[in-house]
Amino acid sequence: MAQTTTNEELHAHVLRRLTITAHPGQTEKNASLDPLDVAAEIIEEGYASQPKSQSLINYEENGEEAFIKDWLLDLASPEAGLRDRMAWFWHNHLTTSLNKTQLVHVVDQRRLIAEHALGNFRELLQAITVDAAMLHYLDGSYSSGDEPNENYAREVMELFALGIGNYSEEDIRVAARGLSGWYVDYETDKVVFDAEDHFSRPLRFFGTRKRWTNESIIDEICDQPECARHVSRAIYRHIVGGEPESQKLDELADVFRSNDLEIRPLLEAMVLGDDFLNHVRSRARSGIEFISAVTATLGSDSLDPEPWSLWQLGQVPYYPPNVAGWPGDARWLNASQALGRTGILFEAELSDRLIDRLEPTVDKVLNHCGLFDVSEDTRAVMDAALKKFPAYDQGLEMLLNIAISSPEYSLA
Amino acid sequence: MTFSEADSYQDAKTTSRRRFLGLAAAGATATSLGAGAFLLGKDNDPRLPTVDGRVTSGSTGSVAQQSSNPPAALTKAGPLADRTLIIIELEGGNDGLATLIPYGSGALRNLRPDLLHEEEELVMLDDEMALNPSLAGLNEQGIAVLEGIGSTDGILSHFEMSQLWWEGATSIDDRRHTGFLGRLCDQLDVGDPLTGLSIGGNGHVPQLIAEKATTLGLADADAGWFFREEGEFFEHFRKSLLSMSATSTGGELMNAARHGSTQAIEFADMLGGFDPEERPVEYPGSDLANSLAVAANLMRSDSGVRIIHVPLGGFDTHDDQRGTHDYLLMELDEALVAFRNDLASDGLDASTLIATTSEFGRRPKSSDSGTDHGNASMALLAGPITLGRHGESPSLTRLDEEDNLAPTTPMAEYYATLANWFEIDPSLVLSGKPKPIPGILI
Repeated sequence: MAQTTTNEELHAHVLRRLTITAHPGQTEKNASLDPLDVAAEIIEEGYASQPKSQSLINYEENGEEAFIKDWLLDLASPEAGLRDRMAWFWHNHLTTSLNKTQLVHVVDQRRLIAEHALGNFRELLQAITVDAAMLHYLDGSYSSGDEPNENYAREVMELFALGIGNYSEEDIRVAARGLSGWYVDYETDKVVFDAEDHFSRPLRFFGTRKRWTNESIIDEICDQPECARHVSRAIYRHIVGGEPESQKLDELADVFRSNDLEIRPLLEAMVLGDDFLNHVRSRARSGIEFISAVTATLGSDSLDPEPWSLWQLGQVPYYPPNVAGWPGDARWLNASQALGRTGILFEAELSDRLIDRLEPTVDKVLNHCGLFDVSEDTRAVMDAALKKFPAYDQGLEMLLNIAISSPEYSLA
Repeated sequence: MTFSEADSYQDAKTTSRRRFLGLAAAGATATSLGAGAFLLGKDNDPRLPTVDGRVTSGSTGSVAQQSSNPPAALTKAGPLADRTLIIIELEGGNDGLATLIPYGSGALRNLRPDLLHEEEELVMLDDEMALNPSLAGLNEQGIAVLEGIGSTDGILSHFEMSQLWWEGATSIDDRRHTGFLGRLCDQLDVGDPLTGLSIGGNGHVPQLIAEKATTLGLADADAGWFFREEGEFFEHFRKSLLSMSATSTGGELMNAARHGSTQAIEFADMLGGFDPEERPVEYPGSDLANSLAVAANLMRSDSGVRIIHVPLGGFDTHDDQRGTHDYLLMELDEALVAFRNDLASDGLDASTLIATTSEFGRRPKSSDSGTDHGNASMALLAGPITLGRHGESPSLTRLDEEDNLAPTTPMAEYYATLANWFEIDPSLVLSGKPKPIPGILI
């Protein structure tokens, strides 16, 4: 949050937040444009993009490890755009764990989330409510009208859509009944509805007494005034960084609500203004963001990121620490993360291609890393390192190591 | 990449890559939270299980030697401010009936004839109960067992039950987004650089998620090797990180990042700030022992650490239970015996409570060469406590509807006892005001 942010740094910021990271050369390419025009363009492109088609067949041989690696490589790819960014956000927000479901279902869920990532929140929530992986993870599959399981009913309101304090325990009991009847048939792996397992007698939910279905329960939740606010706040923390000011949040929630929970207008209201550009490096890079960034910086021929390295940082897709997903705060900057990040860095072996292409000067290395505004201290340390290691390859490696370990690089 | 100079750098880098390959190989097979660590220890262990899974040579040889002068039983706990809790999580569901064995029970013989040890192998406690032969070393040092621990929910899924244990949730409806150990850390937090640590799990162990205390997860005991490596290149890299962290420009997050880097280097030093040759005791070569050796060093440092969590995986013994389970308990026994001797050499043993957890026990009736998921199990405890048996043995004849042992001690009461070790009111960290189990802590 330097007072004088350079144009290049603003471009890097746009790329870090709306895609996954600023790849070498991308910032320079945009330099003659207005950063907000680039942001608008990224939103447009993301909206027009098609979700990658995936099927379990891709993973039959190497199973979930291949699935996780594939995701990681997608995030680290220069092709990654706003759809990938938002799909990652939604996985963290509407989380599911492979500990409680199977690969076949999370492959489907990943595709479902990618399809809805920039669509309509209500439609996304409707779809995820009867998604097989979610029915397993939050026990909808084990719930019935006679013996309702409240797990999904609670989390859909507490974490996904409303936030604590905006519903009652009675609302949870009613929602659990209204949502009942959907399960994953373990023989066909398909989601089915069994009317006999659904609770169909009238109940009172948020003041309305009627017969409820899964759809009307989710609609009622989405119609609560707090829904737009809760979801806008979560997206703001991820895309803009930090907590929105109350008035800002009201504005954004109004936009979201008046556009019937369409995600694109919300993102445009959030991003296409000064507020967004005033949030350079205002949040930490999470584990998977760091690994994606360092893979982009060094190239996958220098660093072939392995799913095991994600374990070190504790951010493996589909293995969240709990139903609240991964924390989005400064915990990503703590000492165990710093040890893990440096360990991953030392896994890399610079490729000849990178060595041929990147000259060991402080400016070239910083820009290659997507760093444009850095503190005097970081720059001084790099200058000193170059004096100490003038040999081409070693100097280059030292400069890259320092830049990637700098406090600036650990922020998004 | 070739370098005209700095051979030592090249050597160091080659060595480190080799280390990483070891780690990568182990990590690649990881399917559960605690599996990502070195395999070297096991490869070097001359007492590997043979093909049929039995341990090949006397299972207690080196242990018996090492603990030939067992420390005197502790009669008093150390000062409150020094107290530390070591949690060993036995992942996969530890078979309580093969750890603490009701050897005289006819019911047990009928339920699992093929899983029983010869009576003369057992470590006898009294005329009902014996310990698994692998636990001879710990028994000689003195331990306590708490019987019948479990959840009335009696869920048979690893994940569901692990989550209950991690979160310290008293029932499936008691949702928590912090870990039980994390909440203890919040109560103990005095702003130290580190209150809770997990070694051998990952960067975000759910058990240690706290509101305010600093809790960290190290993937393995060798973490931070690059900050300890000798040679110009590594030393300059380390120095550069410290220099970048020596200032405070650019705001709160920049400073948090700098603090993380500095602390990482401090931890790397603490973790490696000892010569394995100069340790007061010799540790076996297992991952668990490596982690505990690191734990002992951190406890001697001024990190402020109060709770250390170390996982030991592999207890999901659906088949070949005898050999696998005996081997795992031997690994546990040898590592803990060395750890306790290490602590005793510095008088830290009186302020250290060691306690095991496991998501559930196993079914009393064997199936083929193993056992299925069960309910009630038991815990091993060591430290300044009343040694011997605590709690009530679950009945082998009145099983629950899944044919599993019905718990006699709720998990919450066990956890309340651990909270009590720090004199923390259990109701601050657990729902439903559970009472500590009387008679364990002294």
